[in-house]
Parts: sequence; structure tokens; C-alpha cells
Amino acid sequence: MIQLFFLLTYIAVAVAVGYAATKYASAESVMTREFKVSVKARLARITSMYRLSSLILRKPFTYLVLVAVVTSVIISGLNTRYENNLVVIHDPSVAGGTYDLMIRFNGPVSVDACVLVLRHVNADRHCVKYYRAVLDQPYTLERGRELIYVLIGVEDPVLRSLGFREVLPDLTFIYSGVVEGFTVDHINTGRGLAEIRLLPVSSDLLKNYNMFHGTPLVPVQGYIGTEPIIIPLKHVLISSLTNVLKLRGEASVLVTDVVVMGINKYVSPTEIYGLVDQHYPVTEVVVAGNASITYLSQVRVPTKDSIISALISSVTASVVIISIFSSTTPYLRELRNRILFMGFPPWAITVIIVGYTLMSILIPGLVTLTCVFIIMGGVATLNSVVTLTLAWVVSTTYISLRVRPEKLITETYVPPIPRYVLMTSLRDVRGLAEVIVNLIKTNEFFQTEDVELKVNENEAFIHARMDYVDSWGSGVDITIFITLTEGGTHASISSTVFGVEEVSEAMSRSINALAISRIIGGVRTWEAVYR
Amino acid sequence: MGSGIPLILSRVISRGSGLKVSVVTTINVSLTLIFRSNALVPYVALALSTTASIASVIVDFGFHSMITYVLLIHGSRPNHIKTYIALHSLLTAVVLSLPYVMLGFGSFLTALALTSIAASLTLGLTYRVVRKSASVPQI
Repeated sequence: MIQLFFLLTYIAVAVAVGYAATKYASAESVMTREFKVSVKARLARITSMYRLSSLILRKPFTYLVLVAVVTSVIISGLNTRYENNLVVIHDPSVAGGTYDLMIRFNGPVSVDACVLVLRHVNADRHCVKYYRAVLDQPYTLERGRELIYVLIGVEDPVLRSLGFREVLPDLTFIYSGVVEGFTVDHINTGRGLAEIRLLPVSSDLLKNYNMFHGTPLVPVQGYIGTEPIIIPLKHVLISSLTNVLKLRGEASVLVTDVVVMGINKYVSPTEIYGLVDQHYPVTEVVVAGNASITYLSQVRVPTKDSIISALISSVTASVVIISIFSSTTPYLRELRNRILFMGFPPWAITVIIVGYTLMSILIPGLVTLTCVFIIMGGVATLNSVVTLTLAWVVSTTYISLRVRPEKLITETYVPPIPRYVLMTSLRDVRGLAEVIVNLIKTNEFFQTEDVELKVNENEAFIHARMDYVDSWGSGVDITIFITLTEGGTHASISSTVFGVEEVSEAMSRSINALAISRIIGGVRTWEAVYR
Repeated sequence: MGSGIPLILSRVISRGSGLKVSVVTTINVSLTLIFRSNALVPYVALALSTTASIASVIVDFGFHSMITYVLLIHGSRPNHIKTYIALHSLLTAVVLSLPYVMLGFGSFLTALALTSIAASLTLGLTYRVVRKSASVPQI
């Protein structure tokens, strides 16, 4: 018996679970289907918009838009003029009479650059050579596992200034990270291990050592305000040019910076830049003397002419594209109407147009910009970016405004309210009629031309013709019916504004309001007092 | 009808936007050539002027189609319509080629030839579409 009970219980539970599972599955499937339908509908809409954009894109006039954009962007890039950044800083501490010169190169160059510079400045001076390398792959000091990011090779006079009067032996470096007198370490250069010797140096001395007026020996990584940020000295190794070049594995003598001090005649930075840059890539030329320091850097900035040229190219491209778009407006409007009938939202045409201009103007423009950047450089690209952006924005705005849907809500003519029903709780019809007549007669905005009053037992009739005092020949004709009901009295006010000449809508509203509002306000006050 | 071609042309020019587009483009191209800093600029500008000549016809596409259609249904001879097309193209081309005068007569003639060919081909295409469909086409 008990077994039967459990069996039935199992069956009941199984049926109940099965039923619940079926219900859940069916509910889930409905939800999933609804979700799928919703997502599919959205996806279908997006796909349709994309297809419509593609449909416009396949029209022949797109080729013209394409050519106009590409040629304008190229013209803008070609017409770029730039000038090197020239900065002059007045510094009274720089002595007059002689001039100092520093040239910084893009990378290591042959030491012959010094000969070229000295020949140009025609000075019987010494050219101080520096080799400063910021390593992409740092070297590692094996003992302290310190990474070395900067190697600086200098001449003996500089080493003497740093406190090393004797010539440094082979593969001996000065390093601020050691405190002992003479340390042997191994350095991993990536090509293998090399045994080097390290000598301590004062961090303060190294940090404050300038190889030129205001230019630190340790390469500057950036500035906070006017304060230069240099690489931490524990990552810097300094030695003679020979040692550094040997560690770097360079066979020939290379330099990255040269300094010539005490030149007797003025050295033009632009001249020296032009001369040296023909043979070696120059980053910066600095000339100090006569209480000023002149910096002429490789950084190029576009000139005003260049920007004007970019704007002219933008205008040309915009005019050509707009003229093409204006001829397509009827087609696009027809397309807009069709998709509106199909149930697309009003903003769909804007999305389609923006998508079209993206594909026909912006993407080809960006491809052209890439070519301009590769062939002509960054400054030309800047000019072309101005042209492309302006042309795209102007064209897209124009065509979007031309084909946007008309407003669904329009302002229709609404005549001034000619009728008003006033309900009061009082039952004195005659009293109410007399009050209204009095209010009409005492309205200071109107001169009462005629007032008629007729009162029966349960109803009253008032007719008034009032001339508006501020405008000759216009006024209002008012008819009021007062009826007594169970709840009180109802006054139905009808008015008609008249005028010898045509009365404007605003004027009509104003006259009506002045006439009716006095009656309503007066009756309400009377009602409150009477009660 | 042939004698009326100059009159129709003058009306088309005065009422259409094509000449305005040509004039604005001419001014811009002139300024571009004046401020040019690269020897390749005139060649690229020539491509732009040629595009502008097509655009100056397309901007009045509906107008041109209608004029051609009206001329056809009023019995104009094909030669008259071709004369109209040639005159209109030449006028557009002359306006668009003016900036190249500063580069020399040869450049001017090259620009004139390219822009007039582009304009006449576009107008000719319109004429052919109208003649084939016997209706005012839409772009």
C-alpha cells in the first residue's frame, strides 16, 4: 500500500515537473522568439539603411564627388608651405662679442660633420663632439640588475669637468649608481656580455652639467613647465667617445651633437641649418651670443599662406560637391518619401545620407590622406585634414538639410476664442445681468456704443457693441445669454471682433481678451462678495 | 528655331546655377594657382576644373533635361540642339579655363579642351537620354 502511495507520488511529482518544464520551455521559446524578432527587425533596419547608402553610392555622380575630394585633398597637401620653428630667448647671462653654436642631429652621424661646420663658420676653433644614445633595447648591469637606457660619449675636457682628470681606461664608465672607488661589473648588451669597470660620479654634478647654454648633458625627455625632465641617472653610463662607441659596436667615430664655442663672427642659424641639413639630418641648431639664444628646430609649422590654400581647396571641393548634391536632391527626396512610407523613422534618411557621405567623401579622403602623409609628410597632411574635414562637414550638412523630412506638426490658423461659458453658483439672474452691463460700461479700454439688456424670469439677454479706444474703427460685439439652472446661473458669452480695416490675428486676440476678461473677473469678484 | 538657340542659352545661363558654380570654382582655382608652391598643383587643379565642368552641368541637370525635351517636342533639329550643347560647353569651358591663362596659352588651350569635352559629353549624355526615353529623366 505504501509502495503504491510512493509510486503515485513519484508519478504526480514527475508529471508536475514535466508540466512545469514544458510551460517554462514554451514561455522561454516565446521570449526568445520575441527577442529574435526584435533584434532581427533592428538588424533589418540597419541593413536596409546600409543598402540604401550603397544604392546611392553606386550612382555615377559618386565618382565626381570622389574625384573632387581626392583632387582637393591632394592640392591642399601640395600647396603646403611650412617654416622651421624659430625661437629667440633673451638671456643677459650669455656674453656678447663671441658666439657659441650647437647642432643636434637626428641620429648618429659621421664625425666629418664637425669639419663641415668649422669650414662654414670659418673659425679656428675646436669642435666638441658628443655621442648621446637613448637605447630602444636597454642594456643590463649584471650585478645590480640595473637597466641602462642612455649611453653618453664625451671628449676628455668634458670628463675633466666632471672630475676625471686622467684618461679613462678601456671600457671604463662613470656611473652615479656606484659608491665604491672602482667596481667591476658585466653588462648585457643584447649581443653578449662585456666586462666593464665603473667609477662613481656625483649625481648633482652630472645632473647640473650643461653641454651648452641651458642644455643638459643627459638627454631631456620632456618638460614640466620650463623645468627639463631627464632620465634618472642610475640608468645612464658616461665615458669617452671611444669606450661608448666600442660598447655600441660601432666601427667608425660617430657623433649626435657638436658644439663650437667662441666664434668671433655672427653665425646665422638658418644658414648653418640649410648647409648641414643637406648632408646630415639636423634636429636643432642653437646659436648663443649677444645676450640671446636662438633655437632653430626641425619642427615645422604651416604658414598662413598654407592654411589659406587649404581653406580655398575646401571651398572648391565643397562647391563642386554641393553642386552635384543639389542636382540629386529630387532623387533623394523621393527616396526619403518612399522609405517613410515603408515605416522607416524620419531620421533614417539623415543616417543614410551621413553613411553615404562617409563612404563617398570621408573614406576615400582618409585613404588620400594616408598617401599624402607617406609622400609629403605631416605638415601637408595637416593641411589636407583641414580641407577634408571642412568639405565633408559642409557637404553633409547641406545635403542633410535639403532632404530632411518636413515637420509633421504645422502651425495652423487658430482664430481668437469667440465663445466663453461662465458658471456661477448664484441664482439671481437680474443681479448678474446688471453687474455684467455695468462691467461693460465701465471697461476703460472700450467706449460703449450700444448696450441692450432684456431679463425674463429665468433668463437674461445682453448685447453690447464696444469701440476699442486705442484703435480707430475696431471694436467688439458681445452677446451674452444668462440662464438659470439647478446648480446656479450659466452665462454664455459670444464675441466678434470687427474692424474697418483688416484686423490682425494678434490684435483680434488682444481686443477679445480685454473685453471678456473684464466680464469674467468682475463676475467672479461680485460672486465672492455677494455670497 | 535655330535662331532662338542664343536666346535659350542666355536664359539657361541666367536662370541656372551652372555658371555660378563655374565662376566660384574659377576664382578658387585662380587663388590656388597664385599661391601654389608645387609644380604638380596645376595638373591636379586641371583635374578639379574638369570635374567642376561636369558638376556645373549636373547642377542644372533637371533644367537641361527639360530644355532639351522641350526643344525636341517642338521639333528642333538635332543640329540645333547640338549647337546649343556646344555653345554651352564652350562657355563653361572658357570660364573654367581662365585661371590657366596665367600659366601660358598652351595651358589655357589644354584646359579649354578638357573642360569643354567634359561638359559637352555630359550634356550630350543628357540629350541622348531624353531622346531615347522621350521624357525628362531624373538623375
